[in-house]
Amino acid sequence: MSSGSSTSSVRQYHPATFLERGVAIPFTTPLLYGTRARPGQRNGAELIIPNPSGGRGVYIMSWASMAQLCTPTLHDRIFNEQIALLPSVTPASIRRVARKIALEGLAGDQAMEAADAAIAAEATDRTVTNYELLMRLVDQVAASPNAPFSARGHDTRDAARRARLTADFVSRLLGRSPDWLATALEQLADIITPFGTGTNDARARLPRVAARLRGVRKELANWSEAQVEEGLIEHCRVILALADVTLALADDVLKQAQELTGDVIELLRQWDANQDSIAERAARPDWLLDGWEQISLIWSHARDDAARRAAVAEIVALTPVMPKEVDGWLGGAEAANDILRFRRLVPLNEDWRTGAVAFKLVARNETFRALAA
Amino acid sequence: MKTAPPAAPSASAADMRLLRQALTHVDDDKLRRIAAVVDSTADPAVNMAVLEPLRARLGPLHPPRLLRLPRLLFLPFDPIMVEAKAWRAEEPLVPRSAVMPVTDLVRTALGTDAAEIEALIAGRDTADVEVVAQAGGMLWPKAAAVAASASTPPPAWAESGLPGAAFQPLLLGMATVWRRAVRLRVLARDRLLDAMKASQKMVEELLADTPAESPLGCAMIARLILLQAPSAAPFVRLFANAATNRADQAILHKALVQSVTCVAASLDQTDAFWERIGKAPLEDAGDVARGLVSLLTQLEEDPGGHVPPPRLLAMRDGLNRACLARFADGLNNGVTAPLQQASEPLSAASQGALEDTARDLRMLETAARPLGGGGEYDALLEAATRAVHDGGVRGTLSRMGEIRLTEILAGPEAALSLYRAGAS
Repeated sequence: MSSGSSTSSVRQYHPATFLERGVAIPFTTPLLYGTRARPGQRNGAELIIPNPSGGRGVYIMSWASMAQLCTPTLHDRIFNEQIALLPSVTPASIRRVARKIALEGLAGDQAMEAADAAIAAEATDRTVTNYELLMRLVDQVAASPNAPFSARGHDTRDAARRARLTADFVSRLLGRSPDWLATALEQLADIITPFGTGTNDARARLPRVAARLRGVRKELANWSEAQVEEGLIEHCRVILALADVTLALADDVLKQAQELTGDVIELLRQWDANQDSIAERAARPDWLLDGWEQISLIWSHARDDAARRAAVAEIVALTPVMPKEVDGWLGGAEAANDILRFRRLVPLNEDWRTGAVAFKLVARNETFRALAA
Repeated sequence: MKTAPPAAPSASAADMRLLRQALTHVDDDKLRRIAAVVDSTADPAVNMAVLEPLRARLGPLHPPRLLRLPRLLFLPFDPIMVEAKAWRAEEPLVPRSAVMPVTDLVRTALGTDAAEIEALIAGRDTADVEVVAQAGGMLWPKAAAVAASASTPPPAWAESGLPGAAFQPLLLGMATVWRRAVRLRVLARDRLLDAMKASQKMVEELLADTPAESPLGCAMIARLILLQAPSAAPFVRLFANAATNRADQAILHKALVQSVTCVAASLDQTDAFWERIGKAPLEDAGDVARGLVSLLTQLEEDPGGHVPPPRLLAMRDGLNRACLARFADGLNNGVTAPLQQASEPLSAASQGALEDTARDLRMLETAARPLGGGGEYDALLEAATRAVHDGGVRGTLSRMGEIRLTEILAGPEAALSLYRAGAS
């Protein structure tokens, strides 16, 4: 592999924003695992690929330059074509592409079934969120001084009547039609489903990703205490520091996002005034936690000391750096990046991800596709 | 006076003989199943009686074996275990007949600790790497302490058929290995996972004080490193060269030379490679081939030149032929024949099994290609890809099933063409 040409030289990577950090793409090619995509300076997306040697820095290149680095799987080639068609690269849009491709069977039967199940589960979750938003609205209206009905009862027909009355009441309040209100609640359900309604909702996908990361963080901290190799210990320290910053921020942004549903009337008012602003706040947890699910999977897949050593060496190159913008949100976030930048190196086998074991790694990455559908 | 009926014990012995004879003819799959059944009997005597004559065949098959205290205790010595008759006191080998007496000694000394470890491994097998690491981490250091302080053989030692004088040196050697067994295992698993480069620091820590502890143990460790993590062997040489104590240096160098010559001698034997590659399950064949290629590289790079180049060339050729034969056999029996014989569309499970087999074969081929035989591998892969295509035409394989198998066997470019052709 050449590192001398302009397209494939290792570069430092200090993203200013989450968009610039890019979105983690669940590629199955071993050398491309942990790759991120972001809008390119010219046409199409730019790919940010962890340094395959396990060293510092990343490769930033277009898909066309990829041939210099490796031979991507068919799954990744089609994935890349789909990325090029996206109007915007976000964690949510990449997840939709990933599921679409998995449904074709390009990542195997297991991933196909998992994608199918995930799509069905998400549709159900959206319906539940939509219902919960409506019920919150009913409760809010019922508690208001000029409510068109008394406190909430248990009779289903009565509940339906109250919902209708609530829709009429809120529509009038916002100066919108009941149809607009129904559509708005559906749209809000779409963006709220990933983190759930109300504070401390642990059922939704993103709180589960955060909980899983917390578990991995604890296991890694315990494991690292028994290690003797300085390089590995330092790698653990880097991963733990960035996991800590991410988790501290995740608690904040998840709480802020979940609080959106504390006052549904106000949420609808803001949605009416500026949809982008609400969507941006709601998407923060997804951007923040992006990439950590893959890391959690690598760690959980390692069953013994040797596998955990390899996992740590792989994870450290994938650990999402904190964009500069978060330093204002939480002091010390940028300092966590510094230890990533100046970490000691633990050399990886050069042909690990391109030699015989690559076939095993593709199968592993396809299993991860099924586990993180 | 009534005489005891003589029939039962002698019939049992006769039955056992008949059983052993019958077992010598069973195929490998059946042998794996028999080993699993025998393992599940708690009586080690039954295990010994039935499996002892089959060990030479069972070894290369790598079946997961039920974890019991004796097996866990001697797992670190796996590549250097030999039958009692093949054991030589001056060689870094462990006679299998020592397993039970030494296990009894360790179990008695450990008391409740042994019971705790036995509870941890109950129902688990050697493929459960997490349990092996955890239980081994509890057992091996304690076993090292017991072995290091054992000066006289226990009464059960007589059953091993080994001389009493062999007891203490052997136990000291075992103690030296057990004390480092956790790290030796990590080194071996590192080689298998292939992600990390061999760690010089780990080798240095492994070898520290070994000559002083037990020269035999030092030789055992040198051979275990060469066999299980060949790419770490140069660090053994570096460590030996750096030793300040001349006596230690001599012991380490002797251990190294002995490892290289003995390992080379074992690879010189007829069918040595076929025994290792041909008999290994396909899912292990690629790893075994990688290990052997790495081992041969170390023998070639041995600065002492203890193995002459013509012998090394012959070994490479032997390994190449064994890999090619295993690949051809695996491709035919694991991919082509099942596809040709299928009369109905394959289930998702069958498709998954075919993909696993195809990946295992590509791992073997990728590991073995540097030895030569590139043209033969290409021709075999092309033939298999044609069989996959025929499977697609006949409807045995789904469109995506055909594309995925084509990708594994012929690469992503071929799969992309097929994908585009189907989409147009």
